[in-house]
Amino acid sequence: MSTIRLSAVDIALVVGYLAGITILGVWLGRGIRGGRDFFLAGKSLPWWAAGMSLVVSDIGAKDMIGLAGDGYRYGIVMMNFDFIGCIFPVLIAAFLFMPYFWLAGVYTVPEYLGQRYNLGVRTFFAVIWVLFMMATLGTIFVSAAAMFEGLLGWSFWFSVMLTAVVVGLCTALGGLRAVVFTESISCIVLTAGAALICGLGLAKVGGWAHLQETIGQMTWTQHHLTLLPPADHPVYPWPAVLLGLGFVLGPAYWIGNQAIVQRTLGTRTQNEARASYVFCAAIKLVFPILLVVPGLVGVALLGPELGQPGEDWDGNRVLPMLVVRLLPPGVLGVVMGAFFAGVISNLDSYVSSASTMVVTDLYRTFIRRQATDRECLLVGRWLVVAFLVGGVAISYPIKKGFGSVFEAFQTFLSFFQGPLLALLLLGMLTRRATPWGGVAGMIIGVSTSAVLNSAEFLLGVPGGIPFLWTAWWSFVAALAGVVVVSTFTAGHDEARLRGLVCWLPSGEGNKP
Amino acid sequence: MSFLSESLGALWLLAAASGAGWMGKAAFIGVFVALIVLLASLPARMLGETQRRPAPWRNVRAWAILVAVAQILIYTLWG
Repeated sequence: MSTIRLSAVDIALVVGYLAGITILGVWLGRGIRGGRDFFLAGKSLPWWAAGMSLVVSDIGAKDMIGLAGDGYRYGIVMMNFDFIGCIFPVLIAAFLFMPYFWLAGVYTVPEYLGQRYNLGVRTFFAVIWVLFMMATLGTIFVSAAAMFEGLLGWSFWFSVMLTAVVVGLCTALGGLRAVVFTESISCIVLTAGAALICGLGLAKVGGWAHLQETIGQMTWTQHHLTLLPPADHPVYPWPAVLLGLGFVLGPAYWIGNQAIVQRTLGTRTQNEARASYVFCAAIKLVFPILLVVPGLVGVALLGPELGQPGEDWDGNRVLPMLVVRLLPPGVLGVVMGAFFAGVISNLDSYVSSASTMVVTDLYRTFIRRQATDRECLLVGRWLVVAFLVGGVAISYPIKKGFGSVFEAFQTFLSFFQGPLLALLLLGMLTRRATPWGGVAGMIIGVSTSAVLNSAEFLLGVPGGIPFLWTAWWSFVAALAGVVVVSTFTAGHDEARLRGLVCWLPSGEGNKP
Repeated sequence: MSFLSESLGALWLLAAASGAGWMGKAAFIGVFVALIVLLASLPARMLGETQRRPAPWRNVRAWAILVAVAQILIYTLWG
């Protein structure tokens, strides 16, 4: 693939953006005095900043690269990840679930699970989330390196190390407040960059109508222009999109993901937390179009060169190739800035959340119960560095193991998202779910995920089971496990459940 | 019971044979219609709203309903 030489304007834009973000992050971190300031921004975040931060915590480099590649391979069905898989659960989370995290006065989602069920459930999900976040960090590094390699000819390791240093400086010094405000800027830059690629791409192929016509003439793109492919589609059958993505993976991600929930816990009031979710949903009406349409443009422009995707087809090449061919000097600087914005916002979200979970759910629970706020701040900062080093270390094996970055991300998610959602759902909606029920649901759900994910090897299912079905059935299995075991075991008393369960409002002075 | 299962089976086969068609579209639109009904019917007390109604542009619930309506339009056009 041909690389490009950045013009002086492009370089000035990129360097200015990176320097600006780093300086802002460090400046915002000057008032941090303890763990609450570092992990929850001292509960001072405005709704608009938290909302924009939610968007770029979810959409970043992995999505720009991954969705363009999968848009090329599968078409507009990929927009469902942001429509039914995001907007629907985000609105549900805002009005039904978020208030209970807020009332429980927790720092993390596992901490809520610990209050609602028991320490075992809390610890299990904390460890799983930390491992998942580490894997995600590796995935994001791979996206970054793919883009820099494709565009600028930088080596894999140089790209990864440069990104790690910028993110490390910003996050370790600035905490959640710096993360959220720099992400707000990233959101604007990312939108501008994605809109430029999308707009210039459509102009190049002669507009949407002409693009539809071109895609319609190909033999392998018959479902590319529908959001809802048929029920026998090999990867995204619409019932699986609805049940697996809309009812399980989406809600689990938006309700149970620490990187998401932590932003809303840092807002000033419960109503501002709700407004931040709704603002995020409004922005998400546009983002999937900006990210998936370049994949379709790729089919029209690069189709003869890249061909029909097969087993070893590399979707990560689509966006870099488009950028090289579409963007004039000057504009490229904005897009490179957008890409840096995506990488940095994704990385700092996960690094910050992972360090919060380790400090809250593991360090203060098992290692030093009497740790002071100041000590937690220090440990949190060192953990940011440790997670970045870990993410760098596993990025290379991830690069070698998976064809598409986005697919890798979703596979990680599908393993335990279903069980987590089942526990949160029953934990918040009914007082009958017991601690032992929670443990059973967790074990049964994750075991089901493991078996279904290995269906080709264990059950002899040719081609395996689509990951959306895996998510759905692991959710159902966990739900059944909680219900059955809770029927025969004792639950917590009413006083303990106040403020944690939907139908038991917090008593006066009971919860913060 | 068997009539019910046969009918459901026939509907499923129809959906599988003809793309998502009306069934898929109806299912997705139905989800957002149900969400709008839920949002509209949530008691004000549960959302911490005071007796005075907030100005429309500050009404988080109204904005959420607007976003859900936009989703219905998108699935109607592209579903």
